[in-house]
Amino acid sequence: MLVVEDLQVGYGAIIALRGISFKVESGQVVTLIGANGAGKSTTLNTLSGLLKPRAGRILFENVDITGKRADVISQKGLVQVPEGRLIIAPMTVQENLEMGAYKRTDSEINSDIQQVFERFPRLGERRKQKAGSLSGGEQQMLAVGRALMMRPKLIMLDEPSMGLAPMLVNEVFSIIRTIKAQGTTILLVEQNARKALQVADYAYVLERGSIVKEGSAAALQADEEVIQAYLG
Amino acid sequence: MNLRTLFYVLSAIFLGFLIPYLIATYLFNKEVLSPEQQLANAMWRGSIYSLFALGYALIFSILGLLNLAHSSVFMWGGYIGLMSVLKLDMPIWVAMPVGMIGGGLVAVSVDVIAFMPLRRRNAPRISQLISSIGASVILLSLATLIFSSTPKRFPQDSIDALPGTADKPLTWLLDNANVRITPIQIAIFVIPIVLMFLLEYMVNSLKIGKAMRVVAFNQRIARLLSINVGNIFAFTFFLSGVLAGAAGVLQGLAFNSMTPYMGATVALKGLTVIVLGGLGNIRGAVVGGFLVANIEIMSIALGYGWLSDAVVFSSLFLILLVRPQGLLGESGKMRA
Amino acid sequence: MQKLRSLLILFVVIAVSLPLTISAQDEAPQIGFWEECETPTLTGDINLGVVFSLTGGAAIYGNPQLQAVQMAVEEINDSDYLGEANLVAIVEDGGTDVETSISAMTKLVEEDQVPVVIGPTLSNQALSADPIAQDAGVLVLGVSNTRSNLETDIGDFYLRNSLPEAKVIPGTVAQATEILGLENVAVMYSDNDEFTVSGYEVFVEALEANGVNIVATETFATGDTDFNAQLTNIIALNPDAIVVSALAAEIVPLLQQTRNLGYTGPIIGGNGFNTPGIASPDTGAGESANGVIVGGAWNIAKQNELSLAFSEKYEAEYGAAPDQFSVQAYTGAWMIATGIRCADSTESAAVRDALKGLKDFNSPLGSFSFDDDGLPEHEPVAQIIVDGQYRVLTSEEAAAVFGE
Ligand SMILES: Nc1ncnc2c1ncn2[C@@H]1O[C@H](COP(=O)(O)OP(=O)(O)OP(=O)(O)O)[C@@H](O)[C@H]1O
Ligand SMILES: [Mg+2]
Repeated sequence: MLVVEDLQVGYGAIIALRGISFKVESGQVVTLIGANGAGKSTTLNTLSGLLKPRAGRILFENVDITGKRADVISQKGLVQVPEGRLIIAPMTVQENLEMGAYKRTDSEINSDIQQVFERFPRLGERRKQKAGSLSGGEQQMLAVGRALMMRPKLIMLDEPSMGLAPMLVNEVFSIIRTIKAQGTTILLVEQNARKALQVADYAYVLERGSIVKEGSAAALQADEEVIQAYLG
Repeated sequence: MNLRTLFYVLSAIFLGFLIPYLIATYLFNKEVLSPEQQLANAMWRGSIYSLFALGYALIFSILGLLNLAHSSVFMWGGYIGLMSVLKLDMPIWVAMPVGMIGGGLVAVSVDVIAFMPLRRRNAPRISQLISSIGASVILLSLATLIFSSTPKRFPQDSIDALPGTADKPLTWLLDNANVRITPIQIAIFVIPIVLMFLLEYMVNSLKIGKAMRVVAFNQRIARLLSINVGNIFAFTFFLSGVLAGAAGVLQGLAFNSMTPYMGATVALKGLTVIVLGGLGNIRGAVVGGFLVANIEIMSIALGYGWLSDAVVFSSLFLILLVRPQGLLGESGKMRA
Repeated sequence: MQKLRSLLILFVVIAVSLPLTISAQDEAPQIGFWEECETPTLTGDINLGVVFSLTGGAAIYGNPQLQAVQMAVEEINDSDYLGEANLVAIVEDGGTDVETSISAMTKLVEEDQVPVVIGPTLSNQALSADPIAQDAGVLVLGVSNTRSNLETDIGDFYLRNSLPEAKVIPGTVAQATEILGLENVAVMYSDNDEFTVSGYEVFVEALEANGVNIVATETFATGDTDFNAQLTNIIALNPDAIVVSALAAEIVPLLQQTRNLGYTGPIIGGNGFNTPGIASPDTGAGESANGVIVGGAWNIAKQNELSLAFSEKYEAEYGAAPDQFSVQAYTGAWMIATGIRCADSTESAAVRDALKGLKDFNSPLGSFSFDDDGLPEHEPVAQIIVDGQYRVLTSEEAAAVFGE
């Protein structure tokens, strides 16, 4: 579904990605793990079109989307839930979700919003509340809910568990499981490698801009080096 | 929401007109001659200032940038309306929207010429500001070249042709209130308020307005939500130009004199208005416009006309001392 | 193109004026000091530099000025006013800007070495271009410069026959006070412009001299368009007249707003009101200009034989009624010729001295003299705008506009 070939990205003189290649198969959960500054967010932002790569190719559903505008890419169904829960603080919960459906013209928008509220009852209770006043966990749910409103084919989550209490972390991962169960492909970026590998089918390890290891989630969970570096 | 705007406008009148009036009359025994008429005078002036400042505020809230070519767009909108009457014999109620759309298109070209290339290169804000000054100068020179700098005005019959005036005297005298109001002045008061309500409605309730707010809040989020940010910029410029064009035509109709320099006077006033109201705050622009106009008129009414600019700026300093973010300003984000 | 046109005009002028002047020869009123000074002994061509605004915004004044000068030159030559000598006009376009007038003046002074120049049209052009003539000792006669102090700012080779505001306003105010019976007036002026402020000061002096009370003084700035607040203050005091010193751009909206606020009385204006466009229904204040009272150097209705004769002939030649500017230019050319005749010399200094000594010179402007300070003097005409026309102010005209 998503094929990345030899992707190189830099910020001025800083090289953030040194030619990485990976694949995400339809229906899978693929995770990208790595330490701070490894280049995970850079990868997602490049896939989303917020950053332009210096070299390499991105194929989404066999279409070359390299260098396309972000709004065009997200409309194709490659949707990112960015790091740091970038919800629209001055708008209400309901409005945030509506904005997720900005480009949609179908008649199911309202029922989709209802579904989000069913999945996240706490959002439903706060639908008229300004999003900025939500707690961290609620904001993360809203960010995910808003992304779901875009009816993504592939949803990219950038550290959804960051800064959340352990209980909420579990909740986030159960949400990921339900999303997967509904047939949406997921590219999950996590520092919490243990949890990530538990939900994932396949995994890549990113270190200083290069992919140093890959394999099925089960294989990596058993890998000595990975245990040492990320699960220890 | 909309009622609140009305409330704010009333407070501006209260602050800028009634309070100084009461202080002057009862504390200093200074007589204000025909206060009703002065209040009416302040209303026309205020609605044009507000309408003009709205466009400034709109662009500031979306781009976080002062478009200093706004005053030239105002002038162009006014002239396009005027030329539609003079050269194309359009009735004024057609010329008005033509001037508004013309202003919108001029504003979009300002965006394309002055801002877009710099935005693409991620140029610092200051160079975008300078670039907008350049665009303003070019627009001014073009206007001088095309329209010449001799003062022009809407012909009397085009004004007389407005509904309700054809066979009536130019002036409506409200006997009880002792206020003289021409139909044009009523239009000048009503049109901006209608436009403001429409703008508020659009920004608050329409999809495109919400998209504008998202762009104002965070462009990254907007892009990730499939919002075409470039289009939103263009649309915002268009809207600001439409408002400026309306203000330009109304200014021409209200005060019977247009020159290519008509923007220069309003430019500084508009900046004062949006700083006073809270940068980038739409409702603040409306309130600020009425406040500045009321302060000006009141200082003239009290016999300190030669000081009116000084009074306005002193009030600005005072208000900024108490509220550095402006009257309704929050964090410079777009609010409606 | 311009040259060709002036040539053509010149040709028409000659063709039309020849029979006219001949027939006019033996009729009674005649401009010029025929008796006072002897016919000069000069011969050959005497060059007269002419700089007027033939292009740009001021061309509406400059072109009639040129026509009037050419008419006068024809008359002077045909009547042998300068004896054997012939006056030859060298015409330069002074544009509407300062730079063009400077280069025109430089050309006339340095290349053509003319002894006398008539023009340029605008006061600020005079201020910038005339010093070139002053430095070269060439006499300049202004025929439309109304700014005060030009004599002292330029120098002793500058004279004019156009009344500065200080000379027009007192006469106008005196006539207006008498005819309209003014007691209390309100004054409004633009306080950030040199001309309007000096106009204001002259007005105040003239009003005081005529015993008129100033009940309110309001100011505004050049470039303003909204005068409603000031006017509201003024109108509430119910003055007999509103006196205004402003530039043309502010006058139109000011008049309109004054009338919209319900004031129907007289509005007495300074020189800025002397622009024909003010009463135009399209570009001016239209009906709102009715009742404006403004002093001028001349009015077509002025009952003076020379003036009537001039108007008749001018209209016959150019198909349009003359304005103040053409009368002043026509008179100016005759004045220069008179200076040359009386000095019997083409020396700039000698012509200047003869000209400066001019007293009771009978002209379409009336009886003209230079006062002891070298300032022009003749009776101004108080005018009133009635139905868009500048008429001579009389109690009948006033009654027609203001009732009573
Ligand atoms: N805007 C930027 N300008 C310059 N360098 C940047 C920028 N954004 C990221 N970088 C650099 O690029 C590298 C990769 O950063 P990136 O944000 O992709 O890391 P990450 O793997 O997402 O880290 P984290 O787990 O902390 O989110 C880092 O060295 C970072 O300092
Ligand atoms: Mg990151």
